[in-house]
Amino acid sequence: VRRPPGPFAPAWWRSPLRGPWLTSVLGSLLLVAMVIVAVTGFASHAAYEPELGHNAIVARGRDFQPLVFDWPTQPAWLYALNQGLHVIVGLAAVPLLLFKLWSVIPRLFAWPPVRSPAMAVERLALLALVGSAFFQLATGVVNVELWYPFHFDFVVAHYYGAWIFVSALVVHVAVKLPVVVRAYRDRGELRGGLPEPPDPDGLAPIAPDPPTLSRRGLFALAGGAMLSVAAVTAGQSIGGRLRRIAVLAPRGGGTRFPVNKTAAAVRVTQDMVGDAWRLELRGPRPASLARDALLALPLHTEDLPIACVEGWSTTQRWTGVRLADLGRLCGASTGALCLVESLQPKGRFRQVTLSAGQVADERTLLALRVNGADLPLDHGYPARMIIPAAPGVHCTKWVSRLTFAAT
Amino acid sequence: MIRRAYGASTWHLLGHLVLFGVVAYVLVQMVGRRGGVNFVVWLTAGAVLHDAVLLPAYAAVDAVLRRAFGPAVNWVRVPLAISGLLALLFFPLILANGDANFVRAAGHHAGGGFARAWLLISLGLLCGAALTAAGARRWPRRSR
Repeated sequence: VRRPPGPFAPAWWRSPLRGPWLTSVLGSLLLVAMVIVAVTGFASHAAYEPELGHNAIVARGRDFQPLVFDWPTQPAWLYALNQGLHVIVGLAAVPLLLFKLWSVIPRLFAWPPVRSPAMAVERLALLALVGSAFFQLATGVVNVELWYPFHFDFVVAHYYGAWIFVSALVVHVAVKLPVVVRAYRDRGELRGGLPEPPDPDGLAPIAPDPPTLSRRGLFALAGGAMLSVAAVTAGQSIGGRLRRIAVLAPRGGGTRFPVNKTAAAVRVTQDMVGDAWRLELRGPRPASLARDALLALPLHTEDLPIACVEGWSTTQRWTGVRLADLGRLCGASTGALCLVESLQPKGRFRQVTLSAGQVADERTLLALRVNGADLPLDHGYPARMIIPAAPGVHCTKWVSRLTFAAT
Repeated sequence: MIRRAYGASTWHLLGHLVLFGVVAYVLVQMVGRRGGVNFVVWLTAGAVLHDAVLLPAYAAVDAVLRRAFGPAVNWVRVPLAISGLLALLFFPLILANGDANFVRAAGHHAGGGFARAWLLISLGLLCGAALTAAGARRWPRRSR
């Protein structure tokens, strides 16, 4: 077969580092990272309790959700950990993905491009794999940086993109497993020498340049790049001193107590939260309470995190009335769910339905104060929810009505 | 039989058919929505841009560096690679692309802090590498 010149010629690819063993190691490391990102991603979908009320963002019944379970309230930092892992590991996986793709780039120019129907099918599957990998990383990265250059709904697209990515990854791992096993087995004969011997897939060079970087050096660079990305971002999840060095984390650096949505952004004004504000309780014995009446109820103080789906979290000291106490006040039965509604006139998270477990947990508060002072307006004055281990957007701000019901 | 006509096992074919089924389902769910076509563009653009633009671009830069710095190339290549990666991941913050959303959501500007941080990190990496290289030349390690 006559090959076109340039990258289609095997001698074009000269790096002495490429070879099936290198690709296998990079692929195995990337797989670990991708499993963490995928599992935490689907767990986050479950944390939104999409089976309750109008919580679902991806239409219920069309979301294939593999993890259907009641998201726990224990430990309180569970969602902060989940999203910290999802975002930080996702960001740090980018250099690993780039190295992995660099190691297999000669395969893109295999000649003839298609030898059999199976190879055509495999190449199409690889487009789905690489395309969805970049799609998930790119949409995730720009979303946590609050830049939305696309026209689709991020949550729905990132969720369905994950389904393509995970399916394509499973197929890819199954197809490539024998190659990886062989590469690890043959490693004993390599004894660390460069380059790897020529292989049927054409990854190892047939005309290698002298090395400018050892294989160990390449792994050090990949690891250094991953650590650098983690170092400048992880503080927004972990907090403490690391927050100071999280200089490229969207919500790291300066602010210890970030705001997710300001009052102005969702059109909540000072007039709406003045003396006329009442909390409406709906249940067997409906009630309406002014803020002073709420402050006269038994108050409890809890240290709980606000944990954003975007990966940042912050633990503060909240004081308020237990949601379970408010349920009892209006005669709700044990095991009731609670529909929480906000004053905010628009926005996806102006309402949320909390599970029976979240309502019953003693640490779930209708918070009135934070760190000893009244809530600032941007943090939800006159009253906001704070729920252990729940996604931040479920800790509804500017609460106006609580409806307790069995389903 | 299948192996001869298709070129791989039946499982290979079945696995890929399931995958294409998932892709088709997702496309059906997405294409009718707002931004459905945009979704398809984004889904394929990353792979194309990586293979056709990003990889050739950094390979060309690396070739220039190798020619310019010879055996000392890693002292330049490593800091530039990390600085470039941070730019790739954080350019929307560095260029304040989402500033309006920052003001709406967080109540403050994205600010020049990100651009300054990236510049300082990049300068720090390059200077650190240059100093280490100079030190290594001044006090060479004894070979054992």
